[in-house]
Amino acid sequence: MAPSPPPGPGDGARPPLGTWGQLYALVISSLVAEIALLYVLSRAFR
Amino acid sequence: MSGLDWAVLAVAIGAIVGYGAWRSRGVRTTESYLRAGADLRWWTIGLSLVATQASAITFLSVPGQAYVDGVGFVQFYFGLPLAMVILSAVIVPVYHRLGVYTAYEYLERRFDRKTRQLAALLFLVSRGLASGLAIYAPALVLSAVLGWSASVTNLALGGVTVVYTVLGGSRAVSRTQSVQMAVVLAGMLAALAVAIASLPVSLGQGIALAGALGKLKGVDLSLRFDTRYTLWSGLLGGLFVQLAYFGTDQSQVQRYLAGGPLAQSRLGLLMNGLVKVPMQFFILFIGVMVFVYYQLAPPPLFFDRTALEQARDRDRPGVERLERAHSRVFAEKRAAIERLLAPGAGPAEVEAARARVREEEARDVALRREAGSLVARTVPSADAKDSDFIFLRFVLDHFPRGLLGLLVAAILSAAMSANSAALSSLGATTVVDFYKPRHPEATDAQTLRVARLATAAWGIVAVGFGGFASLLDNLIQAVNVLGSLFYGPMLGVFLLGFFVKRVRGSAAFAATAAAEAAVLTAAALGRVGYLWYNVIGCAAVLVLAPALEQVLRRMPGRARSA
Repeated sequence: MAPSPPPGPGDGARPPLGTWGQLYALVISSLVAEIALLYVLSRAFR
Repeated sequence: MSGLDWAVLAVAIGAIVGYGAWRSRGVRTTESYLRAGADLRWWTIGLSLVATQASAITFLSVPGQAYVDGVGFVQFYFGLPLAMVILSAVIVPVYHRLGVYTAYEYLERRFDRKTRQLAALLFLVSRGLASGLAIYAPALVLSAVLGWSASVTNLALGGVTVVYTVLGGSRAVSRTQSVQMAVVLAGMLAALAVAIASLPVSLGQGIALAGALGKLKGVDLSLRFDTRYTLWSGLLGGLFVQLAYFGTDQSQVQRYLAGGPLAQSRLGLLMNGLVKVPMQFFILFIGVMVFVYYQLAPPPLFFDRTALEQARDRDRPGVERLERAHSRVFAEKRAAIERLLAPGAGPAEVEAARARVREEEARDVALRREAGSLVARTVPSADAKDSDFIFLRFVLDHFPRGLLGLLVAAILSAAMSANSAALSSLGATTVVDFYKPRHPEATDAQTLRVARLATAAWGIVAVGFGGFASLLDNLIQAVNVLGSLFYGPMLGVFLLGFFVKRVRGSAAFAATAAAEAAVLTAAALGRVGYLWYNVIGCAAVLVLAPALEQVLRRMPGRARSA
């Protein structure tokens, strides 16, 4: 894997809220929730 | 269109072009022409990414697709949030560190010039052709609204987009995209509101009816390779296609390589990952509501009215026979739907009514298919499928004054935003990956002039190819199939660069060329769903390149500098 670059000056290496890991977890858990909702919808109305 | 519609359309388009011109004044250097600008914030980058992917085709074709096949197409986007996380964590930091203008520059740093130019060429071919389709789709709307021929509107709309992109470059593109997205969002909200308000039943009953007819199957767990959209093809194939699209397609890479802080690019990508699946579902849901509407009010036999009338002129008895059968099926289905939705019906009655509704729907589908064949047989220039016209027909027949103008403005905005991004990136790639390496001595003013000329030339190619788009059955699928023919090998060579350290230029180049040939062969044989082309192409590069590297290293007298 390519090494992560060191944060440069003024690079805003940290997100404005939380950590990058938390933001990634937010994006992935939203996807999981959306898939689950769509699945429930398709089972409930058929 | 009424005077009010024209006024709404003129104000919306005028505001967008004016804002773009005002914000992109002072583009005098190649840097400011090819990069969006260092001061872009993450929400502008995120909107720009969404706007670049959401072309007019999205808003015309996707509701029609939901009408025919339900919301299952949403699965195509399941891989996108995962792709955004991978890009944000691994790939974008590398692009930023290298300070590249195009994604392909990375390939020369990692491999060699021929590999860089092969990937850039694959991009130019696929994006150049796809741009043609993306200009044609809204030209079709204009043609239906104004009654002009689609060739004229294709030329007019393409012309406007080309001029503003050539003048303002990438900066004009990114700046106008946020305004364009606001217009698009307003138009789509209006479309959903009109669709729901037109229903003669409650929203809940409408959803129940859509479900009974299989239009709400958003997740398909089956493990079939020949089914286009399943959870698995969406997650895996979708991950590959979106990684390739956002990571290696310059029309997207240019949006987040604005030259500003890395964190803004990463946040912009994650924002795209959060909004995309709900947005696609929303657009598909509009199509489902249009479907429900036409279960309760008589739909036309064929939604491309012009083609149907031409067919009627040539085979009146044939068309009228189908129309009579279609009316009978509609009446039978309507009666069964009333039994299905009747309050107080017992489970057995509901089940019987549901079976009857499905039976009549199957008859209706067969009749529509027959009508399509008749149209295609009698009108050689027309297409057997009318799915791209479904949403348009609904809009033209049901939108109140003023809102029609807003919806046309939304579709044109989407067209302009996606096409200007594509043309700008085609110009950038031509200059950065082909012109500059051959003319390192060129001054900035010369390079800027070539960039403008290249952008204009690609505009002409795209508008020219748009003239052929009417021959394709569903525009959005055509765009995705076209992309999938090239994205696999493209993604493969980038992944090779990032993760397989020991492979060098010549092996990477040969493996990419061979993988492209493999994908084109798979497509010609037509046995696998197109999303799998991405997986095949990418896997072929990743398997072939290390093997070729081994062979090359063992060849006696072989130069090791490749």
